[in-house]
Amino acid sequence: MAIIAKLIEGLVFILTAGSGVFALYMVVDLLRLRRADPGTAYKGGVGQWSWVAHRITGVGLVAFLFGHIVDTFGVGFGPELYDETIQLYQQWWFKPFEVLLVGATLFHALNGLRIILFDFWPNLALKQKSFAYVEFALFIAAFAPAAFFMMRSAIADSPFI
Amino acid sequence: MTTVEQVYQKHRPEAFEAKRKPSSFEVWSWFFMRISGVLLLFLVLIHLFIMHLVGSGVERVDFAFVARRWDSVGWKTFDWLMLFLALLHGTNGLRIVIDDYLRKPPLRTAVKALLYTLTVVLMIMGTAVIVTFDPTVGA
Repeated sequence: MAIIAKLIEGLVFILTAGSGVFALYMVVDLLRLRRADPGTAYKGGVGQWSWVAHRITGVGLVAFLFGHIVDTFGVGFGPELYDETIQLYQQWWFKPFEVLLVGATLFHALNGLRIILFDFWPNLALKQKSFAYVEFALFIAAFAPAAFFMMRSAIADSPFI
Repeated sequence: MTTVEQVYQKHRPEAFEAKRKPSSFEVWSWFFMRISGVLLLFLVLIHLFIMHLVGSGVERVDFAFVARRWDSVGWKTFDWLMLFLALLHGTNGLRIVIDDYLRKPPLRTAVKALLYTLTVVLMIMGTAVIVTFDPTVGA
Protein backbone atom coordinates (compact mmCIF):
# COMPACT_ATOMS: atom_id res chain seq x y z
CA MET A 1 0.00 0.00 0.00
CA ALA A 2 2.80 2.40 0.95
CA ILE A 3 4.39 2.17 -2.50
CA ILE A 4 1.08 2.90 -4.25
CA ALA A 5 0.47 5.93 -2.01
CA LYS A 6 3.94 7.23 -2.89
CA LEU A 7 3.29 6.64 -6.61
CA ILE A 8 0.08 8.70 -6.45
CA GLU A 9 1.90 11.45 -4.55
CA GLY A 10 4.63 11.35 -7.22
CA LEU A 11 1.99 11.75 -9.95
CA VAL A 12 0.60 14.84 -8.19
CA PHE A 13 4.15 16.20 -7.95
CA ILE A 14 4.87 15.61 -11.66
CA LEU A 15 1.58 17.26 -12.70
CA THR A 16 2.27 20.29 -10.47
CA ALA A 17 5.82 20.66 -11.82
CA GLY A 18 4.52 20.17 -15.37
CA SER A 19 1.99 22.99 -15.09
CA GLY A 20 4.75 25.21 -13.66
CA VAL A 21 6.87 24.47 -16.73
CA PHE A 22 3.90 25.28 -18.99
CA ALA A 23 3.36 28.63 -17.21
CA LEU A 24 7.03 29.49 -17.69
CA TYR A 25 6.95 28.43 -21.37
CA MET A 26 3.87 30.51 -22.07
CA VAL A 27 5.25 33.69 -20.50
CA VAL A 28 8.67 33.33 -22.15
CA ASP A 29 7.01 32.59 -25.52
CA LEU A 30 4.87 35.74 -25.25
CA LEU A 31 7.75 37.98 -24.21
CA ARG A 32 9.83 36.59 -27.10
CA LEU A 33 6.96 37.24 -29.55
CA ARG A 34 6.57 40.80 -28.33
CA ARG A 35 10.28 41.47 -28.71
CA ALA A 36 10.53 39.86 -32.17
CA ASP A 37 7.47 41.56 -33.61
CA PRO A 38 6.69 44.88 -31.95
CA GLY A 39 3.54 46.67 -32.96
CA THR A 40 1.42 43.71 -34.10
CA ALA A 41 -1.13 41.67 -32.20
CA TYR A 42 0.89 41.21 -29.01
CA LYS A 43 1.02 44.50 -27.18
CA GLY A 44 0.42 43.40 -23.64
CA GLY A 45 -2.13 45.31 -21.61
CA VAL A 46 -4.57 44.15 -19.00
CA GLY A 47 -6.69 42.12 -21.46
CA GLN A 48 -3.79 40.08 -22.79
CA TRP A 49 -2.31 39.41 -19.35
CA SER A 50 -5.75 38.31 -18.12
CA TRP A 51 -5.85 35.85 -21.00
CA VAL A 52 -2.36 34.58 -20.07
CA ALA A 53 -3.37 34.20 -16.41
CA HIS A 54 -6.63 32.49 -17.42
CA ARG A 55 -4.76 29.93 -19.51
CA ILE A 56 -2.00 29.31 -16.94
CA THR A 57 -4.50 28.86 -14.09
CA GLY A 58 -6.68 26.68 -16.33
CA VAL A 59 -3.83 24.31 -17.21
CA GLY A 60 -2.72 24.24 -13.55
CA LEU A 61 -6.24 23.43 -12.35
CA VAL A 62 -6.80 20.65 -14.88
CA ALA A 63 -3.39 19.17 -14.00
CA PHE A 64 -4.37 19.09 -10.33
CA LEU A 65 -7.80 17.70 -11.23
CA PHE A 66 -6.19 14.72 -12.98
CA GLY A 67 -4.08 13.96 -9.89
CA HIS A 68 -7.02 14.58 -7.56
CA ILE A 69 -9.24 12.05 -9.39
CA VAL A 70 -6.49 9.44 -9.06
CA ASP A 71 -5.98 10.12 -5.33
CA THR A 72 -9.75 10.05 -4.69
CA PHE A 73 -9.89 6.69 -6.53
CA GLY A 74 -7.89 5.42 -3.52
CA VAL A 75 -11.02 5.83 -1.35
CA GLY A 76 -12.35 2.68 -3.00
CA PHE A 77 -9.48 0.65 -1.47
CA GLY A 78 -10.14 1.61 2.14
CA PRO A 79 -8.62 3.86 4.81
CA GLU A 80 -5.12 2.34 4.77
CA LEU A 81 -4.27 3.54 1.25
CA TYR A 82 -6.35 6.74 1.19
CA ASP A 83 -5.26 8.15 4.54
CA GLU A 84 -1.62 7.60 3.66
CA THR A 85 -1.98 9.18 0.18
CA ILE A 86 -3.65 12.39 1.28
CA GLN A 87 -1.06 12.95 4.02
CA LEU A 88 0.76 14.76 1.21
CA TYR A 89 -1.85 17.54 1.27
CA GLN A 90 -1.65 17.82 5.06
CA GLN A 91 2.05 18.62 5.36
CA TRP A 92 2.72 22.17 6.52
CA TRP A 93 4.93 22.81 3.46
CA PHE A 94 2.11 21.87 1.09
CA LYS A 95 0.02 24.80 2.36
CA PRO A 96 1.46 27.39 -0.10
CA PHE A 97 0.47 25.09 -3.00
CA GLU A 98 -3.02 24.73 -1.54
CA VAL A 99 -3.27 28.53 -1.29
CA LEU A 100 -2.08 28.80 -4.92
CA LEU A 101 -4.76 26.28 -5.92
CA VAL A 102 -7.50 28.31 -4.23
CA GLY A 103 -6.12 31.52 -5.77
CA ALA A 104 -6.00 29.97 -9.25
CA THR A 105 -9.60 28.74 -8.89
CA LEU A 106 -10.84 32.16 -7.73
CA PHE A 107 -9.07 33.98 -10.55
CA HIS A 108 -10.20 31.52 -13.23
CA ALA A 109 -13.79 31.73 -11.94
CA LEU A 110 -13.95 35.54 -11.80
CA ASN A 111 -12.16 36.01 -15.13
CA GLY A 112 -14.40 33.39 -16.73
CA LEU A 113 -17.43 35.33 -15.49
CA ARG A 114 -16.00 38.49 -17.07
CA ILE A 115 -15.55 36.67 -20.41
CA ILE A 116 -19.12 35.35 -20.23
CA LEU A 117 -20.47 38.86 -19.61
CA PHE A 118 -18.69 40.16 -22.74
CA ASP A 119 -19.87 37.17 -24.82
CA PHE A 120 -23.54 37.64 -24.02
CA TRP A 121 -23.56 41.46 -23.71
CA PRO A 122 -20.91 42.65 -26.23
CA ASN A 123 -21.50 46.33 -25.39
CA LEU A 124 -19.94 45.75 -21.99
CA ALA A 125 -16.65 44.89 -23.72
CA LEU A 126 -16.21 48.60 -24.46
CA LYS A 127 -15.52 49.00 -20.76
CA GLN A 128 -13.26 45.90 -20.56
CA LYS A 129 -10.51 47.67 -18.60
CA SER A 130 -12.87 48.83 -15.85
CA PHE A 131 -14.30 45.31 -15.65
CA ALA A 132 -10.79 43.92 -15.31
CA TYR A 133 -9.97 46.27 -12.42
CA VAL A 134 -13.26 45.43 -10.67
CA GLU A 135 -12.39 41.77 -11.15
CA PHE A 136 -8.92 42.24 -9.60
CA ALA A 137 -10.47 44.07 -6.64
CA LEU A 138 -13.01 41.25 -6.11
CA PHE A 139 -10.21 38.70 -6.43
CA ILE A 140 -8.09 40.39 -3.74
CA ALA A 141 -11.14 40.83 -1.49
CA ALA A 142 -11.93 37.09 -1.69
CA PHE A 143 -8.40 35.69 -1.84
CA ALA A 144 -6.67 37.69 0.94
CA PRO A 145 -8.87 36.49 3.83
CA ALA A 146 -8.93 32.91 2.46
CA ALA A 147 -5.12 32.85 2.19
CA PHE A 148 -4.78 34.35 5.68
CA PHE A 149 -6.98 31.71 7.32
CA MET A 150 -5.32 28.86 5.43
CA MET A 151 -1.76 29.97 6.14
CA ARG A 152 -2.40 30.53 9.85
CA SER A 153 -2.52 26.83 10.75
CA ALA A 154 0.41 26.01 8.47
CA ILE A 155 2.60 28.66 10.12
CA ALA A 156 1.67 27.30 13.54
CA ASP A 157 2.60 23.75 12.41
CA SER A 158 5.86 24.70 10.72
CA PRO A 159 9.10 24.01 12.59
CA PHE A 160 10.16 27.66 12.39
CA ILE A 161 7.86 28.90 15.16
CA MET B 1 -1.01 47.69 -37.81
CA THR B 2 -1.95 44.08 -38.32
CA THR B 3 -5.15 42.99 -36.65
CA VAL B 4 -5.98 39.48 -35.54
CA GLU B 5 -8.66 39.41 -38.24
CA GLN B 6 -6.10 40.13 -40.98
CA VAL B 7 -3.83 37.36 -39.71
CA TYR B 8 -6.78 34.95 -39.87
CA GLN B 9 -7.75 36.20 -43.35
CA LYS B 10 -4.26 35.42 -44.61
CA HIS B 11 -3.89 31.96 -43.05
CA ARG B 12 -7.51 30.75 -42.99
CA PRO B 13 -9.17 32.39 -46.04
CA GLU B 14 -11.84 29.67 -46.13
CA ALA B 15 -13.17 30.92 -42.78
CA PHE B 16 -14.24 34.17 -44.48
CA GLU B 17 -16.07 32.69 -47.46
CA ALA B 18 -19.70 33.71 -47.56
CA LYS B 19 -21.09 30.19 -48.00
CA ARG B 20 -18.88 28.43 -45.44
CA LYS B 21 -20.60 26.07 -43.02
CA PRO B 22 -19.98 27.06 -39.44
CA SER B 23 -18.76 24.18 -37.29
CA SER B 24 -21.62 23.32 -34.99
CA PHE B 25 -19.22 21.34 -32.78
CA GLU B 26 -17.21 24.47 -32.03
CA VAL B 27 -20.38 26.44 -31.31
CA TRP B 28 -21.58 23.75 -28.87
CA SER B 29 -18.13 23.59 -27.32
CA TRP B 30 -18.20 27.38 -26.80
CA PHE B 31 -21.67 27.14 -25.29
CA PHE B 32 -20.71 24.21 -23.06
CA MET B 33 -17.71 26.12 -21.68
CA ARG B 34 -20.00 28.99 -20.61
CA ILE B 35 -22.73 26.83 -19.08
CA SER B 36 -20.34 24.45 -17.29
CA GLY B 37 -18.24 27.44 -16.21
CA VAL B 38 -21.15 29.09 -14.42
CA LEU B 39 -22.20 25.80 -12.78
CA LEU B 40 -18.61 25.01 -11.75
CA LEU B 41 -18.30 28.47 -10.22
CA PHE B 42 -20.83 27.39 -7.58
CA LEU B 43 -19.82 23.71 -7.32
CA VAL B 44 -16.07 24.30 -6.99
CA LEU B 45 -16.25 27.33 -4.69
CA ILE B 46 -18.58 25.42 -2.32
CA HIS B 47 -16.22 22.42 -2.54
CA LEU B 48 -13.17 24.57 -1.74
CA PHE B 49 -15.01 26.34 1.09
CA ILE B 50 -15.96 23.05 2.77
CA MET B 51 -12.66 21.25 2.19
CA HIS B 52 -10.11 24.01 2.73
CA LEU B 53 -11.60 26.79 4.86
CA VAL B 54 -14.29 25.56 7.26
CA GLY B 55 -13.20 23.73 10.43
CA SER B 56 -9.53 22.77 10.37
CA GLY B 57 -9.48 22.66 6.57
CA VAL B 58 -7.76 19.87 4.67
CA GLU B 59 -6.12 18.45 7.86
CA ARG B 60 -9.41 16.84 8.92
CA VAL B 61 -10.04 15.08 5.57
CA ASP B 62 -9.54 11.32 5.79
CA PHE B 63 -11.37 8.12 4.86
CA ALA B 64 -13.86 8.51 7.74
CA PHE B 65 -14.61 12.09 6.65
CA VAL B 66 -15.29 10.98 3.06
CA ALA B 67 -17.40 8.05 4.30
CA ARG B 68 -19.55 10.43 6.38
CA ARG B 69 -20.07 12.79 3.42
CA TRP B 70 -20.77 10.03 0.91
CA ASP B 71 -23.41 8.60 3.24
CA SER B 72 -25.70 11.16 1.58
CA VAL B 73 -26.91 10.74 -1.99
CA GLY B 74 -26.96 14.55 -2.28
CA TRP B 75 -23.22 14.96 -1.74
CA LYS B 76 -22.51 11.96 -3.99
CA THR B 77 -24.52 13.66 -6.75
CA PHE B 78 -22.80 16.99 -6.04
CA ASP B 79 -19.34 15.40 -6.29
CA TRP B 80 -20.17 13.41 -9.41
CA LEU B 81 -21.65 16.45 -11.18
CA MET B 82 -18.51 18.41 -10.30
CA LEU B 83 -16.29 15.58 -11.60
CA PHE B 84 -18.27 15.31 -14.86
CA LEU B 85 -18.36 19.05 -15.62
CA ALA B 86 -14.82 19.86 -14.44
CA LEU B 87 -13.25 17.00 -16.40
CA LEU B 88 -15.06 17.90 -19.65
CA HIS B 89 -14.42 21.64 -19.13
CA GLY B 90 -10.73 20.93 -18.48
CA THR B 91 -10.33 18.54 -21.41
CA ASN B 92 -12.03 20.96 -23.80
CA GLY B 93 -9.75 23.75 -22.55
CA LEU B 94 -6.67 21.57 -23.09
CA ARG B 95 -7.91 20.72 -26.61
CA ILE B 96 -7.84 24.42 -27.46
CA VAL B 97 -4.42 24.90 -25.81
CA ILE B 98 -3.07 21.95 -27.86
CA ASP B 99 -4.44 23.52 -31.07
CA ASP B 100 -2.62 26.75 -30.19
CA TYR B 101 0.84 25.36 -29.44
CA LEU B 102 1.25 22.10 -31.35
CA ARG B 103 1.45 22.94 -35.05
CA LYS B 104 2.44 19.56 -36.58
CA PRO B 105 -0.71 17.51 -37.40
CA PRO B 106 0.71 14.06 -36.43
CA LEU B 107 1.92 15.33 -33.04
CA ARG B 108 -1.35 17.18 -32.49
CA THR B 109 -3.40 14.06 -33.22
CA ALA B 110 -1.21 11.90 -30.98
CA VAL B 111 -1.39 14.30 -28.01
CA LYS B 112 -5.15 14.74 -28.44
CA ALA B 113 -5.64 10.96 -28.63
CA LEU B 114 -3.68 10.63 -25.38
CA LEU B 115 -5.75 13.39 -23.76
CA TYR B 116 -9.10 11.87 -24.75
CA THR B 117 -8.01 8.40 -23.61
CA LEU B 118 -6.93 9.85 -20.27
CA THR B 119 -10.25 11.69 -19.93
CA VAL B 120 -12.27 8.53 -20.53
CA VAL B 121 -10.14 6.55 -18.06
CA LEU B 122 -10.39 9.26 -15.38
CA MET B 123 -14.13 9.64 -15.92
CA ILE B 124 -14.57 5.88 -15.40
CA MET B 125 -12.29 5.89 -12.32
CA GLY B 126 -14.07 8.86 -10.75
CA THR B 127 -17.56 7.56 -11.49
CA ALA B 128 -16.70 4.06 -10.27
CA VAL B 129 -15.33 5.22 -6.93
CA ILE B 130 -18.43 7.32 -6.20
CA VAL B 131 -21.00 4.76 -7.37
CA THR B 132 -19.40 1.65 -5.82
CA PHE B 133 -18.29 3.31 -2.57
CA ASP B 134 -18.45 0.94 0.41
CA PRO B 135 -17.75 2.50 3.84
CA THR B 136 -16.78 -0.87 5.34
CA VAL B 137 -14.01 -1.68 2.83
CA GLY B 138 -10.66 -2.54 4.44
CA ALA B 139 -12.16 -2.55 7.95
